[in-house]
Amino acid sequence: MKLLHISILIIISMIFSPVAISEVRINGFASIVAGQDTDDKGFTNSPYTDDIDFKPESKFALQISADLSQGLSAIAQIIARGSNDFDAEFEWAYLSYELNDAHTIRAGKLRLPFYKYSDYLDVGYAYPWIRPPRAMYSLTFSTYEGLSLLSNFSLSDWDISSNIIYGNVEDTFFETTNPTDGKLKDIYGINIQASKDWFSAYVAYVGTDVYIPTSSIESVAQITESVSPGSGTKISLDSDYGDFLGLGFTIDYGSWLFNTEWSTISIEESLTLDNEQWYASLAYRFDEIMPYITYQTTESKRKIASISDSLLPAQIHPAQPPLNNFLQSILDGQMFEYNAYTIGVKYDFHSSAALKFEYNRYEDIIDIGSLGSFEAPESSGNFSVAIDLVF
Amino acid sequence: MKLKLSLLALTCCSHLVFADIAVIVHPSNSNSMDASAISRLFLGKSKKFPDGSVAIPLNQIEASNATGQFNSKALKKSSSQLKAYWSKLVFTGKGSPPKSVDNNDAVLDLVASNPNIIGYVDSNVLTDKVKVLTTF
Repeated sequence: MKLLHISILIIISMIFSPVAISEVRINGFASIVAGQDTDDKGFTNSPYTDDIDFKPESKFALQISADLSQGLSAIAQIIARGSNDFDAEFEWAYLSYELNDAHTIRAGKLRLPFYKYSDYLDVGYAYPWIRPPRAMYSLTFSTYEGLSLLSNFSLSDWDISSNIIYGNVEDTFFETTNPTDGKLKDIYGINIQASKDWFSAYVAYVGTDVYIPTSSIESVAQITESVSPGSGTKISLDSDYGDFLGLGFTIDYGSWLFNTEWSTISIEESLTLDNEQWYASLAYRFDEIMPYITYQTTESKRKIASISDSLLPAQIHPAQPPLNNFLQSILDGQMFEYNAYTIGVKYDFHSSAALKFEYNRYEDIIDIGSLGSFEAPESSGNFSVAIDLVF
Repeated sequence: MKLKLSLLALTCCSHLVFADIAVIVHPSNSNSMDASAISRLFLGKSKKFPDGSVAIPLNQIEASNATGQFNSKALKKSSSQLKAYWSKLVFTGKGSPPKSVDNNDAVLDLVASNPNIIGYVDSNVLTDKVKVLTTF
C-alpha cells in the first residue's frame, strides 16, 4: 500500500514537472445514471431500491497523461464515484514505457484484464449498455499493483494483442456481505485478443493465492480444525490457489453488434463454491439510435464435503451431526443462481455524449440475502437512464 | 454574365457535393498504400509507412467537411463510433487519436513540409506541393 502511494507521488510529480514534459493531455469521462427497482426486496445484485436514486452508478473521471518523450509516459486516472460519496480516488496510476513498436511495459496501479470490457469498465460511452452485464462483471475488485507487458502483433490479416500481468491486490473483499481486508498475492495472468475485420475474440486466464480471512469462514475453519485436526486449512481462504478463466467474442458486422462472454472462477481447498457465468447481447445500429437486448446468468456449482465423518461435539452443535453433513449444509447454503433479461436503447444525441434507457428483469433464485429459493425464485424489475460523456 | 454566374454556382455546388477526399503525403514519400493500410494508420493500429519510416497521421477538426467524409469513406465509422473507439484506447493508455488541424490549407502546409506526415483534404484544393496516395 505504501509502495502504491509512493508510486502515485512519483507519477504525479512527473506529470507536473516542467522539465521533462513534452506534452500533457487531459481527458475525462462521466456518467450520470438514475435507477429505480420496481420492487423493494433488497436484492444484493441491484444497487437500487424502489426509490429513484442517482448515486449508485454515477461517476466523474479525469485522466492526465504526460508524454515524457522517448517512449516514456505517466498516466493517472482519478474517479469520483457516487457509490463512494463522490470522493476522488486514483483508479489507475502508472508509468508506461514503449520498448519498441510491438511491446510496452507498464508499472503501477493497473486494471486486471479479466473481461473484454475490463480496461474501460468505467467508460460508459465506450459500450452500448448502461453497465456491463452484472452477472458476468461480478468481481468487485478491478485493479492491482504491479507490472504489465502489452504486446501487439500482426499475423497475416489478424491483429493480435496480449497483456501479461504480475502483481498483488490488497482490498476489502465481500464488501456488501462481510467486509474483510484481504490479499491476492502473486497474481499473474494473460489476456490475448485477436481481431480481424468484423470479428474479435479473447481468452483470459488469471491465477493467484487468495488470502481473505473472512469471519464467517474462519469460524467454520475453527470448528473443522477441532473435530478433524489439520483440516481447518481446507476451509479457510489461507493462501489458496484461485483462478479465473474467461473467453468471449464479438461480431461487429454492418449494423449488427453481437457480444458474448463466458467465465468461471474457483478457489481450491476452501469453503467456497465454483461459479460460472455468461451473457449474450445483440444490438442493431440505426444511425444514432441503437436498441439492444441482453441475457445474462450466473450460477454456483454444488460441491460435496468430504473431510471427515466425525461427529461434532454437543457444545458446538446440539444435534451432533457428522462434520461432512455440517459442512455440506453450509456449502449448500451458499448456492445461488441469478439471471436477467435486459432491453435498452442507446441514442448518440451528440458526438461526445450518449443517452441510454434500460429495463432489466432479474431473477434471484437464491442469493446471499436468502431471497427466493430454487422452487420459488424472486424477481424484480429495474428502470435506468444514463447520460455518458467523454471529453 | 448570366451563364458565368450559373456556371460558378454549379461548380461550387459540385465541389460541395462531389468533391472526393484525397489522402496526401510529401512528394518525396514513395510509399504506396491501399485503403486498409491508410485506415490502420489513422486508427493507430500501425505507426509506420510500408518502407519502415515513421508515419504521422494528421486529422482535420470534427467540424470540417473533409473529416466527416474521410471517417465514413476511409475509416467506415460514424463520428460517435470513432469517439467510442478512441475512448477505449485513450482511457486505457493504449493510444491517442491523431492531432487535428483546422482546415485543408493547414493540412497542405504541414504535409508539404514534412515527409512523415500523411493527411487528407478535399480533392479540389490539391496543389503540386503534395502527392496523392489515393482518393475516396
